[in-house]
Amino acid sequence: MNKPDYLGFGLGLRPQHYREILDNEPRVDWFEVISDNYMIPGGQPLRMLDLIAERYPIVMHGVSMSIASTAPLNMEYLQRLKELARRSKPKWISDHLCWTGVHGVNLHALLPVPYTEEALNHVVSRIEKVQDFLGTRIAIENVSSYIEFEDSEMQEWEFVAELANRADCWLLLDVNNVFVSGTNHDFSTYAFIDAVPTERVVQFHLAGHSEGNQGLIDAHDHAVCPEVWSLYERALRKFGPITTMIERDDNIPPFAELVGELERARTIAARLFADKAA
Amino acid sequence: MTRMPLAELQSKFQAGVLEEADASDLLANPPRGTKRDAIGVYHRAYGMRLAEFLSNYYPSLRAYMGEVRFNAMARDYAKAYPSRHPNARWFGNRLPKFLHERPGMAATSFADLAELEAALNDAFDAADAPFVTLADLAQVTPEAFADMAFSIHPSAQRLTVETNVTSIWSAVKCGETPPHVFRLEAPQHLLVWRQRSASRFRILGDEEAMAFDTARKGASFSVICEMIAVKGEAELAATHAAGYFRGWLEAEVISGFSMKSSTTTTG
Repeated sequence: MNKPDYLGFGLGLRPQHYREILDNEPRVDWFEVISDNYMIPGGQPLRMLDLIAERYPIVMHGVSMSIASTAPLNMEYLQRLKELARRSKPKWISDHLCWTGVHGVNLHALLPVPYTEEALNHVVSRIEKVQDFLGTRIAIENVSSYIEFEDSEMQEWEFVAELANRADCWLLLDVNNVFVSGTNHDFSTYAFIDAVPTERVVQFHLAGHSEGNQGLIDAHDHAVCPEVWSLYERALRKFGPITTMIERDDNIPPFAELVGELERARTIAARLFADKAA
Repeated sequence: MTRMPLAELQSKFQAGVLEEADASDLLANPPRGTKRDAIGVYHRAYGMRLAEFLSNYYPSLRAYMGEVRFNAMARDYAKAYPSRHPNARWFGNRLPKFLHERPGMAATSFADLAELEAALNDAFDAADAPFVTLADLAQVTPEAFADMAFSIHPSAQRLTVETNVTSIWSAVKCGETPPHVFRLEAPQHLLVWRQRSASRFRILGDEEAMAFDTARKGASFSVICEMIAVKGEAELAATHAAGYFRGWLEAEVISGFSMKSSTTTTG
């Protein structure tokens, strides 16, 4: 089982930054694109994607595969995803461990699953079908959650680890989501990190969050907080150098600010792995 | 302990998120707050997210309606037309229809404005296609031109509006106070399309609208001239049609041409 190549430090591609990226070719190792935003007939967004994919490695990250839904897999969606992958040649394709709706309705939300054997079997079989259809392993990301189901039989990290091994897929470990869910549900974020199988993780997400009335909200509207940086360091110690990116979807700052934040990730990793080399 | 089947759990949880139906028996006790508070996070986020999708898709309508009225309308729209497409890009597609059917909208131009913005958005990411230039047609003889039919760029759409929505849209886009809404004496024809990477629209007169609609159906240049002749000044029909074609070519609205005997696509 060979992991895809290590890509270094990347950012989420956002339309606000197209011009900056094309004009200045900034020091970002790769870009993650929201697949759904480019599953459109044509026009400027696809042209920008083509131009950026010529200059940088691309990873495709989706929000609507609804891998854990009990509704049938949306084959039209998967076909479009496959066509986009043919066009932009991503290093890998990822989506979330969640469902987005049933009965034909899409809530456009990353809804959590109960951590049960039934759900595990269901999600594993669907990941296998998607991987067969796409002809490649996909990466599955842990989500932030604001509820826990009474029916859960295991911890989230046990579910995630088992899922990756049984489905033979990659994992995208969102460090901020571990922190948000850990805070909301009072679980040990270290236990989560420690349980995830090293050989499955191909990518980290870092992001900021907001404080809600009852807990944290994964809003991607702030800079990465000190606790998440610290958890990132912990994750790097366990997993070694892992392709890392910073997500920002709201209150999007000037591009240079995001590059600065990315430099912090680069510095942490450089210090850690220099220590290791020494 | 008997566990609820996953499909039933998802169905019940979804009803809790969408309609605030009681789904508390599905949930473990949260460390802080109540189960109702916890599922409320998803319910509130759902409403805000859908309003945000509409707001991103219809920024001029939002500016024109005002935030409070727009958000209330967005909530009603989401109830009437919940998203059924995996891509949020298409969630707002039925808003013009919703506004046309909504009571109390007749005296406003909200529906026309939504229709115009939807068309501009659709033009923006419509399928790519080449466009024909005047130079491509340089070798075509006048005799051959009569038998020529044209294909229209996939981004091009025709709208018919009944209010002074174009003036309202322009004012809102420029951040100016929009004029009072009024119903036009006769419906107004608009052509919406993408030129290079930008969406555009322009007003068409009745004759040009008819010529465009006829051309889009694949009619030859001579048939279009005949249609114009029947409805207007026969002796000027060819001149008018040629003028319209030139305008469409310069606007990059024509993506190919074909003859009766053979087909050529260029651009």
